[in-house]
Amino acid sequence: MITQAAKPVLSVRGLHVSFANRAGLLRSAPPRHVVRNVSFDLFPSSVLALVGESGCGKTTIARGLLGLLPETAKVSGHITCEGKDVLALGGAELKIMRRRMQVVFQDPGGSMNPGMTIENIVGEPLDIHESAITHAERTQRIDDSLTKCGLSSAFLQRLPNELSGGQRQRVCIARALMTRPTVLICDEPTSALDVSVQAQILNLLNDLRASLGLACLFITHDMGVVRQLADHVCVMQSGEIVEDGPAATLLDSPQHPYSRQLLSAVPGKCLDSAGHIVPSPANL
Amino acid sequence: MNTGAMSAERPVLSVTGLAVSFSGGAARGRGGAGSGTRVAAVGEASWGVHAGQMLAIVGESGSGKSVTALAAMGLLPRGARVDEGEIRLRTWGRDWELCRAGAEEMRQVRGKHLAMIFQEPMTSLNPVMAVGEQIEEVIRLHRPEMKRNVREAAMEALSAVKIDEPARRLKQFPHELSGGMRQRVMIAMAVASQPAVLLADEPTTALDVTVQARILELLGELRSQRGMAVVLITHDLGVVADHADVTCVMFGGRVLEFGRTREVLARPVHPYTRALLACRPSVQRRVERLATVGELIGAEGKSSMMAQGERLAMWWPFAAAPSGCGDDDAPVLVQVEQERWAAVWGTEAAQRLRVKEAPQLR
Repeated sequence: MITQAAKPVLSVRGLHVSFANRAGLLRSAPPRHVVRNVSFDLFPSSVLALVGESGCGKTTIARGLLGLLPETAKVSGHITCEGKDVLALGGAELKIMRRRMQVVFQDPGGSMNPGMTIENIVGEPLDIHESAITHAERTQRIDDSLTKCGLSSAFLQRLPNELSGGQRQRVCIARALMTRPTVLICDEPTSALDVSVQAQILNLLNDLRASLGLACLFITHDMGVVRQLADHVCVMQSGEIVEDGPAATLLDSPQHPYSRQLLSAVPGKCLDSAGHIVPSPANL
Repeated sequence: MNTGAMSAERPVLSVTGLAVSFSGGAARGRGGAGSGTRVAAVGEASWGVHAGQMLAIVGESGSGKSVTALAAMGLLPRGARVDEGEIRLRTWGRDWELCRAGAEEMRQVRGKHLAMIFQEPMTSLNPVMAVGEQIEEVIRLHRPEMKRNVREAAMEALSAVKIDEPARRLKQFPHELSGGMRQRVMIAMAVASQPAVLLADEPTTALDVTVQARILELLGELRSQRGMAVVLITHDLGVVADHADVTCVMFGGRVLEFGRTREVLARPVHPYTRALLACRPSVQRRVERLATVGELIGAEGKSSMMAQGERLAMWWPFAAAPSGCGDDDAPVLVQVEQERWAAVWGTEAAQRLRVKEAPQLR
C-alpha cells in the first residue's frame, strides 16, 4: 500500500515527447506529439499501472524514462529519480542512473541473446555496471537473483530456447534485479503468457515489491491485472493521461468516458471472482 | 438424399478421436533421442460444431488446440502427421473426410468451405500487395461466378467487416492499416468465399480490449447472418464466457471437458477447468494471492465423477492413476452427464462408456 508520506522514488512532471514527421523535399511537416504533459509519482513498494490502447504513448513513456528514445525524439519536461534530473544526465551519470531503473519487456524470448547461457544473461548487468567484483561474488549474486525469482541453479547452463515462456520471463526479471534497482519498469510482461503462468509472474512481482521495496511502473491493457497488482492507475489516451487515481476507486467508478469505455470492453464480466460464470436470467 | 435435414442434425465440422504426432528427437539437438521417435501433440481429440454456432477451444500453449485446427486445414507442419481419427466437413450436401483427402480435394475445400484466420494479421498478409488485390485473389479463386465484378465483391467483403470507405482501403497496403483494421481485412479475406466454417486461432490476442470487443462482435454477426460456424481458439476465458455457445477445454493434446459454455463455466466438472478459471485475474475483486494451476491441481487432482452409475476417476496427467489402471493407460472421453463430456482414466468401465461419435450440442 502507498504511504503517501513517503517520498516518491520517481517523479515525472510535464513530460512531452514528439517525433519529427518525415517531411517531403518541398514541404515541412509538423511534429507528431506522442506524449503530452504527462505527470505522475511512483512511490517505493508500490505499483503504478499505465493503461490505454496501443499507440497511446505508454511504451514511449517507458523508453523516455530509460533514455532509450531514438535520437529523433524531442523530449521536454522533468523526470526526477532519487533526486536527480534524469533528462539532464549524460555519460557516466546516466550509466549509474540506469542501474537504478531496470526494465522487463513483453516478449522474454526477444529480449535475450539466444546464444548465451542463463548464467551469462543474468550476469551481464554485473559485467557492465560492476565489472570489478570477484568471480565468486558474481556467481553468488546470480544465484541469489535466480532464487528470488523462483529458479534453481539448475538453469545456469541452459540456453533460452530450453526454457518455457514463464521461466524465460523469470530470467528477465532476475536479470533486471541484478543491479539492485529501485524502479522496475514492466512493459506488458505477462501479455504473451498463459493465464496460469501469468498468475505466477504477478505473484512474483507482488512478492518482490514487498520484500525489496521495489517501485514498479506496470504498463498493461489488461484490467484484471491492474486490479490484482496496481495501487494507482493512470489511464492514457492519445498521449495524455485522461484520468488517474487509486486503482480500486478508478476501477469501481471510472469518471472519464474513455476509462469507462476501456472497462466496459473487458471480456468476461459475467465471471465471478472464482472465475465461474454467474447464473443470471440473461445467461440461463 | 435430403441434405437440408442432414445439415441441420449433424455438425458441420466434427473431429473424432484425432491423434497427431510430430517427429521428435532431432529438434532438441542435445539429449540424443533417436530421429525415429515421435511426440504425441494431440490424442483422442473429439468435438463437433454446428452451423451458426461458436465453439471455443480453450487451453494453454502446447495444449494442441492449434494443431487440431491445422490438421483440419491440411496445413500441419513438416514432420507432423495424423495417426488416428477423422475430421469430417459436411456442407453443400457433401461429406469430406479431411484427414484422408488428397491434395487436390483439399485445395477445393481449404479457403472455400473451411477458412482460417491467425493471431498476427501482419504475417498472414502480403506486405507488398494492396489489400484489395489480396481479397480479389480469394474471390477469383473461390467464386468464379463473380469473375466480372471482382472489385465490387471485394468492396462488399470490406463493407461486411465494417470497414469505412472500402474503395480507399482497397488501395492501401497492410502497413498503412492499424492492427484492428488488418485483422478485419484478414476476416474479410477469409469470409469472402462464404465458408461454412471459420477457424479463428487467437484472432484478438494481439489486439487491445476495445478493438478485441469489436472484432468478436463482428464474428458474432457474421455467424448469425450467414449461418457460418466459428471455431474460436483462445486462452481467454473472459472471451469464451461472452461469446461462445459451446466450450471445449484442452490440455496436453486431450479434450478434458466439453459442454455448453454457461454450464462448463458455471459448474466445471474437470479440476483443470476449475483451476484455469480460478487463476484468471478478476477485474472485480482483488485477491491476496492468485492461485496457479499447479497448486490447485495438487489439491484437486483426484476428483471423480459418476457416469451411468460407474464411478470414474478424472484423468489428469500429473495425478496418480486410480487402482486398476496403469499409469500409461490413455485417458478416454466419456459422456459424464446430459450434455457434458470429460476425460477420465481409461479403466475397464470407462472403456465401455467411451464415446464413439464426436461430442456436439445443437
